[in-house]
Amino acid sequence: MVRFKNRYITVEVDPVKLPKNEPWPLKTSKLYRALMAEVENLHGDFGVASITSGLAVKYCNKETRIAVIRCRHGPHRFVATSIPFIHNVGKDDVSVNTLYTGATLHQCYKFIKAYQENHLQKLYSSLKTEEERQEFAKSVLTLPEARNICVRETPDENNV
Amino acid sequence: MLCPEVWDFDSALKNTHIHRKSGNEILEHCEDVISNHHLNHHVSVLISDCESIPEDLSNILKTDCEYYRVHLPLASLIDKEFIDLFILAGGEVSALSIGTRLDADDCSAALLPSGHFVLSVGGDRFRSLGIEGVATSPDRYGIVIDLRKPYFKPGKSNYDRTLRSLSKFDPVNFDFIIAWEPHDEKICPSTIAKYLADKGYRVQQCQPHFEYKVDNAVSIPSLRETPETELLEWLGAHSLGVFRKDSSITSPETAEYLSSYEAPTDCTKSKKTILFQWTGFFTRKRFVHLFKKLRHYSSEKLKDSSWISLTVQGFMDSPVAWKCTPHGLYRNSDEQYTIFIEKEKLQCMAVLPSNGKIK
Amino acid sequence: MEFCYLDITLDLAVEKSISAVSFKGHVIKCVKNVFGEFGASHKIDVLKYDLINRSAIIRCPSTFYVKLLSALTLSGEFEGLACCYRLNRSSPYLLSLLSNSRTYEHC
Repeated sequence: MVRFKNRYITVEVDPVKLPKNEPWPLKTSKLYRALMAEVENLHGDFGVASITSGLAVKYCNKETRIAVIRCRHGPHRFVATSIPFIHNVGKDDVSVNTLYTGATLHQCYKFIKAYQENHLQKLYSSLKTEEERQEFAKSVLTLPEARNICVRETPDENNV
Repeated sequence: MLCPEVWDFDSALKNTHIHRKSGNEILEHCEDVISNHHLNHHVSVLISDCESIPEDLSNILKTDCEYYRVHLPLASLIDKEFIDLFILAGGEVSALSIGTRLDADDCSAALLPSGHFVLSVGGDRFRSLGIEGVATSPDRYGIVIDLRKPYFKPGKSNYDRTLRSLSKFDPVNFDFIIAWEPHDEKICPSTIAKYLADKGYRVQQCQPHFEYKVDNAVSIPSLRETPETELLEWLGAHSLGVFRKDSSITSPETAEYLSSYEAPTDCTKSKKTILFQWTGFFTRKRFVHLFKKLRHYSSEKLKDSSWISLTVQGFMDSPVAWKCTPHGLYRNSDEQYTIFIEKEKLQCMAVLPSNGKIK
Repeated sequence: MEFCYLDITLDLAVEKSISAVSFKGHVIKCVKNVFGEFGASHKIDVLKYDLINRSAIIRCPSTFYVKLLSALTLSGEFEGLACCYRLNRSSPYLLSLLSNSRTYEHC
């Protein structure tokens, strides 16, 4: 039995008009719809049909504005080529950067952690008090929602 | 389905090679190509630059080129009397069933000048026939029977079994086009028609369709400088009349929108370009003859920088492409060749299937 | 670049002659429907067009041949009329389109 191969694409969704440090509610369903619309525009019915099975936005972080998109290996090219063309999520203007493409969610998680640590070093200087810093580090590094998903995903993948 | 293929779809049409050769060996190679292509449907000859229409060339496939459309059962083609009279005596019979599509219909048949009777049948039919054959493509089988073998005669079990299976064939009758090249010049090729008519089959005489076009002041690409694919493309475009002024194109902008095709840049202007086209059914001997005439013409009357091309196409639905090699079911181009002739040297550019190389 | 050549005819429910420009426009629209902007970005050339029969000889890169053919097969509407594309012949060589032995009448 061969398992399905997936690709997990880590993206950073950056609302153009909002300042960096303001939390922005990023919803998985909204990002999913925006992605579908863009794939339909770029790759037509064929693209939509190819990605529909298996496409899911697994995780969105409103603090860091990072999201993970899961899709099947093969059709992931349709998703990957469409991501840079997404300009709206819901009603907000955004620009989307692809950060990383991995084969498992765990790899993506590792990447996000490293990426956030790097990001944190840069932001430390802008925060004044030690308490503020600790609070911020907690919110960025613990990635509560991400950990939940990882815990749920891991036994799953071993079974299949 | 580990990774569903959604990105890269190969056209799978191309299974051919372009051979470019010149020198002494070329002549032999060209004649090989011509005589191994048995069932010919369409010929086009382009003379790139000439003063007047060469009458002897235009008449060459007109006289004695009749072929016959006959409604007959398959078994009558392996009739002993038929084999004795028309094949074993030294003549060459070419026959092909028409209206039988290779990819959709159950059976198509052909009789080659080499004395081979070839059938291409679907899987169910093949199993019910009980004749030896090989799988040519999924659920399609090719049967080749050599009619010249001495043991293929009544009384031998092989012959009897074949005759029995072919007699049971449903539908009984097929539409065939038949042409015969007699071994002796004194015998008229229409003998075969008389023989078949006497047997009670419906025989209809067919004439090849001939047309020619003369174009003035055409830019002709140079044979030596232009890459093969571009040259073939230009030849096709010219033959199809792509360059001719068309009412559908009203302005330069429209033309630009419709097509981005550009003719090769390395061109010379010619005064008069002639294109001959014959369509019908031709035996290979005709082309050996035509080829000789063309070479003769090129050495005597052709201008220095001009050239002649000879393009021959076979039938889409014939069960064989070259020699006895089975016809590719999903490929459309493995039954044609193009030969270019210059004044002094001969240049051959043959479009051949890569699996059935001619040696 | 390697090309493929197709001889196609547009069959309409109602007899109607259409211009070469709208013919090509429709071909591109079909491709865009099925394969989006990415598909429509491939170069498709109408080499020859027959106004009366609505048949054309078109050229496309051979890597796009399969997609073009599927897009044409899936098209079903031309300006509100039911339509379908018929592929008469296709080949990697333009010369092959000179004759069609399948439709030729021997007489």
